[in-house]
Amino acid sequence: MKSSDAVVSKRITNSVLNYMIEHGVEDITIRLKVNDDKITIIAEGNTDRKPNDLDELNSLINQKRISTLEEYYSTLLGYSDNVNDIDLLGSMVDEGCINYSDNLLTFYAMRISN
Amino acid sequence: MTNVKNIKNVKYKIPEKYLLVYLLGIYLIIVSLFFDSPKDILNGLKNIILSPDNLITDYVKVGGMGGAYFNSGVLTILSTFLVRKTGATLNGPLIAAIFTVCGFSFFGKNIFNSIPITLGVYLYSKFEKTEFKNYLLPALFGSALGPLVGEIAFGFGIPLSKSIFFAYLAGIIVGFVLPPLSQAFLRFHQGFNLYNVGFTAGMVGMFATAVLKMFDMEVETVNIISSGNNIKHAIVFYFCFILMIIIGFILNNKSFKNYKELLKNTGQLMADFISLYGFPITLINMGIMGIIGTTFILIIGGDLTGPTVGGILTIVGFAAFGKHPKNTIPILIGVRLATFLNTYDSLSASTLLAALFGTTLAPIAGKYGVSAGIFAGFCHAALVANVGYLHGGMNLYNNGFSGGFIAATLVPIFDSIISAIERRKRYYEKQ
Repeated sequence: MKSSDAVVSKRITNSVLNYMIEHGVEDITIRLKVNDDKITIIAEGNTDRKPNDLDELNSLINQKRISTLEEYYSTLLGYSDNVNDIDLLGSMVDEGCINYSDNLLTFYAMRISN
Repeated sequence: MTNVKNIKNVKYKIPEKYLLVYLLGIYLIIVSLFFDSPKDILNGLKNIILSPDNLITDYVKVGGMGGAYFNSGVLTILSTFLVRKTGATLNGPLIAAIFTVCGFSFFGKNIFNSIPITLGVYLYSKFEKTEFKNYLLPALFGSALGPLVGEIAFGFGIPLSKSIFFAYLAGIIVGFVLPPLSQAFLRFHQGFNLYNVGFTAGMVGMFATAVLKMFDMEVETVNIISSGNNIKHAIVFYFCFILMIIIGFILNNKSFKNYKELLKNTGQLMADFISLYGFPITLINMGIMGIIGTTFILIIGGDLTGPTVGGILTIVGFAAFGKHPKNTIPILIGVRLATFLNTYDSLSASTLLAALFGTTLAPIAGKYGVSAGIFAGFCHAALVANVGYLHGGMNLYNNGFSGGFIAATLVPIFDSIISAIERRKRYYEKQ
């Protein structure tokens, strides 16, 4: 694993974990897979509350990756509960999806390695 | 959390956004020709370039209205060209950066003192083996330390053949260290200080000033301020801001749709209004913020000078990246409240700048509410008057420097108050 991929993987994972805990998700499972060409993060957990920002996150997470931002602001990703992660996460992954059904919140994100 | 569920993803060709920013630069150059003759503008530019530039040096006073407007127009066009050349998408943060350059070109930034810092950032990108476009933000914001270059070149009476070399060397070194430092300092205030490079430049400027002092080269803040141009500045900028609102309104299908959603955003980094709500409504917000900033100065009886115009333009730029009326007005009130109660001149340039640039703390008002915003503005007015000497005015974003400390101090306090209230609520619910 390249050091830059390792750093980004940790930040995205922290961010997803923060998001899930903030939304009352219990029994969280996170799977991180790093290949030569891409990073994949899958997370799921149970909650009886549907996050009210699901549509927003889905919209942001599928926007184009923005290198001008990720190099500069990535240090904030997953840093604390206070950081507005939702906007930042979208600028750092190439594709993703977040879904809620039957009390299960599932998250998937993929980032092509630099 | 903002809901963008129903927002249409309006697609604009990038050149259209670029065109509008280019037009601003061209507009400023045309305006400069109304104020002064080309000969006077050139003389004014010469004076601007040869001035040391540290805070507060009003280019309207140094180079005349024509010189200052021309300088700002040229730097706006060059900054936009630089961004375009790298192939970067023009988003909220980049618009904030270009407008900040545009604004500060009225007091402290010029082509001479900006080149070495941008070059330093470029060399850092080469060193890191990454594309320069990844470092556009520190490259553009980084010229906050332009006065360091100007001061070494023209402020110490060193022969020009030597002084320019050392000035450029210092600028390149500063540019080289800015990107990693600005990334690191983001965590200090957790994104609650919008002028993050201002905080970083304050730290770098503090070291630079200390090193210069070691060699008996004292740097002190100055107060070169113009006056009596309120009507001229107001006409130029009210026209510009109203036009922004009209263009935004037309592009937004002749409506203010999505503005309510935009106003719900806390403004905390990263709040790119263009990607979240679209370019048209962001343009409307920029125009509205420009009108609020200009009217604020005029209503309280302040002077529209190079620095205050710079402050207004910076607010306009950041209206694409975190600022809106709801999270900035509490800060303005807080600073104003402090100026009524403190011993400083309530209409001095530095006090007016504290109010305008104090809006760097807008995310605090956005997240913690109006009272917190007023309190943050009040604290900012106190601190900003006492940190300038640390960098000798060589960091143009002095308010960003102060804002970093305020945010880093207040955010944990507000968080602990909120968590204590919540714990009490839970306790009484159990009783």
